[in-house]
Amino acid sequence: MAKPLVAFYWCASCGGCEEAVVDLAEDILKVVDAVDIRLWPVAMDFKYKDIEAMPDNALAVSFINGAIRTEEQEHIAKLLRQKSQLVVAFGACAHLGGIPGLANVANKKEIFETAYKLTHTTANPKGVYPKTVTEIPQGKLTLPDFYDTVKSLDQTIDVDYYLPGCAPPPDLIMKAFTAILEGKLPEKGAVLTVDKALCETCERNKSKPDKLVIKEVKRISEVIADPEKCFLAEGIICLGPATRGGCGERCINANMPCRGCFGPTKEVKDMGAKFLSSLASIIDIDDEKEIEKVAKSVIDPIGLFYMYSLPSSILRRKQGVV
Amino acid sequence: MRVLLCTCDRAIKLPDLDVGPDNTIEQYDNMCKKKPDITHDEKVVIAGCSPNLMETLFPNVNAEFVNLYEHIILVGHPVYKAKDLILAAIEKMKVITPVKPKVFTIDNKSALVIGGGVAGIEVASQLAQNSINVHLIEKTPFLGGMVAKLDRLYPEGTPYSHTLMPHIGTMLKNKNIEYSFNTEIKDIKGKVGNYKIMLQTRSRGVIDCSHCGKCIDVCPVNVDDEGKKRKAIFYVPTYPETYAIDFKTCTKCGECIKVCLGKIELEEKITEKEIRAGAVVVATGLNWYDVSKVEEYGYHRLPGVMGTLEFERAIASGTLKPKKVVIIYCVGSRDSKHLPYCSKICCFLGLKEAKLVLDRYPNTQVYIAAMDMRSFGTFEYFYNTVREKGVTFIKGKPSEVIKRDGKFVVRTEDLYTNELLEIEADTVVLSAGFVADNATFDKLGIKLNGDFPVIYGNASLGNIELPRGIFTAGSATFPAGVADTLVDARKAAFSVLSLFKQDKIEAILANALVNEDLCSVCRMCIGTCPYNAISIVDDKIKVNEELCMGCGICSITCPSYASQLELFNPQGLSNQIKALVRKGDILALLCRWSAYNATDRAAYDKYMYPENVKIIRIPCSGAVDPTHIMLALISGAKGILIGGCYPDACHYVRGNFLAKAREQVLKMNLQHLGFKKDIVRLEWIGKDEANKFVEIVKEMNK
Repeated sequence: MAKPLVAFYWCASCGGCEEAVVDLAEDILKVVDAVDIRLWPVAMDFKYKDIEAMPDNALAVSFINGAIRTEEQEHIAKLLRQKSQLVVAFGACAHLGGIPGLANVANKKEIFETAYKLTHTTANPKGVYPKTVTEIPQGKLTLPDFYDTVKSLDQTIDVDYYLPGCAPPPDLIMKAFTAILEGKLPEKGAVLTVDKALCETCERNKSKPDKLVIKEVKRISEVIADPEKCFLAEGIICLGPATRGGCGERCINANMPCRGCFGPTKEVKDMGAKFLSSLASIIDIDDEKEIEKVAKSVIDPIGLFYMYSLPSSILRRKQGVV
Repeated sequence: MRVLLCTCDRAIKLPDLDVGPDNTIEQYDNMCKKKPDITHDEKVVIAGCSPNLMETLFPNVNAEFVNLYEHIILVGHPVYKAKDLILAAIEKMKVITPVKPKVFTIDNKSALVIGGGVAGIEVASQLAQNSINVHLIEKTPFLGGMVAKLDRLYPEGTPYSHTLMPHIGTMLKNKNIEYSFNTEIKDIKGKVGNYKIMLQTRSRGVIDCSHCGKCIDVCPVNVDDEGKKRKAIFYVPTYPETYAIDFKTCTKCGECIKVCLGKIELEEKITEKEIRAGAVVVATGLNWYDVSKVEEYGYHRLPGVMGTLEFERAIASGTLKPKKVVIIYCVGSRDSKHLPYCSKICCFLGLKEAKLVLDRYPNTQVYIAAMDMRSFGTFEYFYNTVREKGVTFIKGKPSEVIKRDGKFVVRTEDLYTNELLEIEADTVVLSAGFVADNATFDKLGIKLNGDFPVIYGNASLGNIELPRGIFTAGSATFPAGVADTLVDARKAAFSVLSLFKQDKIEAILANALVNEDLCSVCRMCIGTCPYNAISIVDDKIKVNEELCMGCGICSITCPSYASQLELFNPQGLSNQIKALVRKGDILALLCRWSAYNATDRAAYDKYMYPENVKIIRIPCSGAVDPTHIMLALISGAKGILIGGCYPDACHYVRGNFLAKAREQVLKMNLQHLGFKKDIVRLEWIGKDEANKFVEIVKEMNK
């Protein structure tokens, strides 16, 4: 019997998700045994035209990582959707918009100015910026369009499943593979991990006082966190209560608080808004001025509450600039 | 879903209102006169006049109220807005599950009274006189509690034989009271109307007693019982008339057995017994604050520095004849390091001690050093009586007590004379504040706010519809003198009688519910509940429905929406906002207790406001989720007003402070996302502050 055909693709991402596949270690041999990889730009030499030549739904599954930032990424995502029976948004960027999605606090013009002009290491006296079409004597040079707004994968194409994480942990990848191969998949749209928040399995939750209240907000860089204690109980912001579990608490075990890469639990539409509501609620101060002071001590609120999820939030991006 | 529309005698006209295929509209000319029937298990939208009025017509229904009269007709807003409000209400109710009526059956109409002091005695007595069977338990071997320890009571200085004993006598006449001494509760299960209580009793040692007193003569163990000398076998002249052994000090020498005409067992036995009751009255009284914690006054460290009870008993028994006494007030009280509150009764106790010593030894010099003398009400006469006896009052809180040349020196300031003083004395009395005897509270699941169950006991904050089975009486509620304790005890007895008048209590009350499939037991909610209704039971989050007041604060706090308030789940409000808010609108989410009423007031007083102001009534400003704000913004709202109660005046204790914290953090996010600082405004709007509401929305509409 012919092996199922599989594609891996990367959009706006860091390459960590590709590493995550390699992190399967010897398990990757089982994957390679079971499937026939037909696209994997980081590792194998296939061409877009090979995919274009396939009949629709020829691919059993496409694993797409990264957010959608450019015209090319949108094009390939749509192509893969057309050619695939299943599309899995692989990793936080495809799932929620991810770190690249934080660029939604700016627009294309601001990003280009920063990247190609304003940084101290850039010399660009003529103000040359990338353009989609550049005329040169030999003909036209083209580049994919760079969009104002970063999108999550499901804001571009229909997505069947989400494999969360920055990057997804190998055990969840392997579980997802096995589920797909065995046809034992949950309801469409499911996030392929547990439903409950990280605190459910976090060892440190046991040390959390029943009445969890804080008087001040601390950054992890300002204190030496007690490796036994719940971060929130120490006033250090940890997104564990608002983030899906199943990650194996890798950050917590390295004495770093959760930053939310697995995204919100299933009833939550806007992870940042929801968590800021929770966090503000445990500020145990009954004085308006003092409350303002504590609120102001939250540095970089977007980076804190929406580190991975700005494009998939209700507002999606900074308003009024595009 | 039924949409019930009251046209208020045809003042409201809604032509072509299409409520959708799944809903039916029923029109009434005047619901005040002809009231439609609404069952408990259906969901309805009721459109007509203000919910403040409608709720009195339709209590306990699963309804969203649409205020057409005050929010449309009286303020001259157009018909389309009325339709929007009704359709949005339908959208909300679509996802709401009807609240099931909570039925409390009062199966057992006997009461357990915990504590055999003045409060417990009075409660038991009052209940028994009303034919209620009472089980009174007391943790010591004798009745009387704190009062039985005292030599005399303020203000008159009467001995307790004048007060306590007649009350005990009255109680003992009732045949329907069972008494258990040396008894405490081990645990309690069940709910109002049906509690199962496990009692634990330590044996008394003296099994059969003829009250001859020979045992006391032969007992070799001398015990100092808070200033009073007694033996390890002892008797307190209240009730029962049977001696008891203090097993903590008894050496089991057996001398008492040799002379006893009855029967004594020297092995302490612990027995358990399960009883049932429909109500529990906690009359466990109070304890003095441990004055040794106030180190600067040297209790324990400097022998001779004593507490009020020791002093009182020493004077009464004649073992102390002081020449110069300093009574230090507020020891540990009104002090953020110790007790942050005023215990209310200690000023009188101090005055009583001053009078006691001067009655017995008129030539003694007595000083009272107090920050303030709080002799409220008619106690001012008492204060004057003591002052006229020649007591010197110093306004100040002594900084320390030291010993110099065999005498105590009390160092203090005196704000009357603006001097620093050193007063030499042979006796220093520390008048301490009080703490509740809270061991029983823990077992009953009553969490404390500070040292006393202030919120639990404060009916003005409670939901009066919710039947309660556990009451506090006397100083268990807050420190009180004998007169106030008797009044409080009668109130508690009355509450029990009212409860027992009913066989079944039905209430439709929105409670928070926890969805265990979503709850990760992260505990964020526990500390935010103003009523301590949330706790961890068997590693799961549980909401105590007897304590839950339905504010919705926990459901907005929960990072997973695992906790949801019935009738007000966040999804419902999301739907309502999405259906209601159009581009350029101002969404006003107004607390039902304050700001919402101001909009009714605006209508009556003809304060007009723009028609693009859309109002939604919410349980508390603390029940607004930032997600709701985001939804309103993406729907094109140009401003969002959250109206709540003034600081400290929140119906749900501190929902408005939570709203404040959320608003502050949300605003920072919104500024980074390109919004003006004032796009969201949290404002305190009192129930009659119509002009404030109108000014704010007009300003937001500019």
